[in-house]
Amino acid sequence: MSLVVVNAGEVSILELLFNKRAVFDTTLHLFTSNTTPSETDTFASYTEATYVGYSSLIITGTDWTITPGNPTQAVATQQVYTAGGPGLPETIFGYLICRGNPGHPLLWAERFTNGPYTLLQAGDAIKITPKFTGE
Amino acid sequence: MTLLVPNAAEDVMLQNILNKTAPQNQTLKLFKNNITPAETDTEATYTEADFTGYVPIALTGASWTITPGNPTSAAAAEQTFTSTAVQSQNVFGYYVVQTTSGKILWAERFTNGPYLVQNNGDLVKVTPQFTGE
Repeated sequence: MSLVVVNAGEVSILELLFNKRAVFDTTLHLFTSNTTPSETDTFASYTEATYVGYSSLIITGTDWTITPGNPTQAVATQQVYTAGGPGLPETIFGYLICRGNPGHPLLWAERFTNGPYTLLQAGDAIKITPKFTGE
Repeated sequence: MTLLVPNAAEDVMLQNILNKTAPQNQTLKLFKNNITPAETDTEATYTEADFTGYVPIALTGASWTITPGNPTSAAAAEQTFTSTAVQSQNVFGYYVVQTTSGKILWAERFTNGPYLVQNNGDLVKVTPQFTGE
């Protein structure tokens, strides 16, 4: 499905655009709750993955490539989560992009269109290429 | 009409959002050429007003009030441009640029414009508002 920029994420983005807030890198998280993203969501609306070896990933400005056009698109380098041993299987329903701040303020969320994906054994991997399109 | 964020501005905004370039304060300007904002516009597309008394207006972070909701909106206080002479110039709309880079962020043509600035003391008032969705 399409990503959903949550209301709180819109606030963060507008505060940033209008120079009311310091810049921030973003963090990428996987969620295991069977949640369909909606406008009123926060980070607490989701359950984050917990398998051994999991940690959120930091996406910095240099990870993004922005291509002007109609629409303008930002695409980050592919991010890879690789499962460790214990804690499996774990089923992943989608991902979250948050501000890299304490509490992980949520910017947007996307449920995998053809998911969920289940990590069954060590070495299984989920690969995400974050993309954000202006219009 | 509704404001328009051209492609070049989407580029700037995404760079700001994703921490590739730092956000900046903005400058509010009036334009005097008879154009309708379009996706392929740049700041050079607009001819800035130059009637006597015209001064572009600086907008800082503190100028904006952001109201969460569906949609979330950002609004600044009403901004006033004042004519200080008898003259004749039409203004067709306004545009907002980044103060340092000069790059366009968005433009809007006045729905019921243009407004003719002709008297000493004529005012053009703009209340900038930007809505997320």
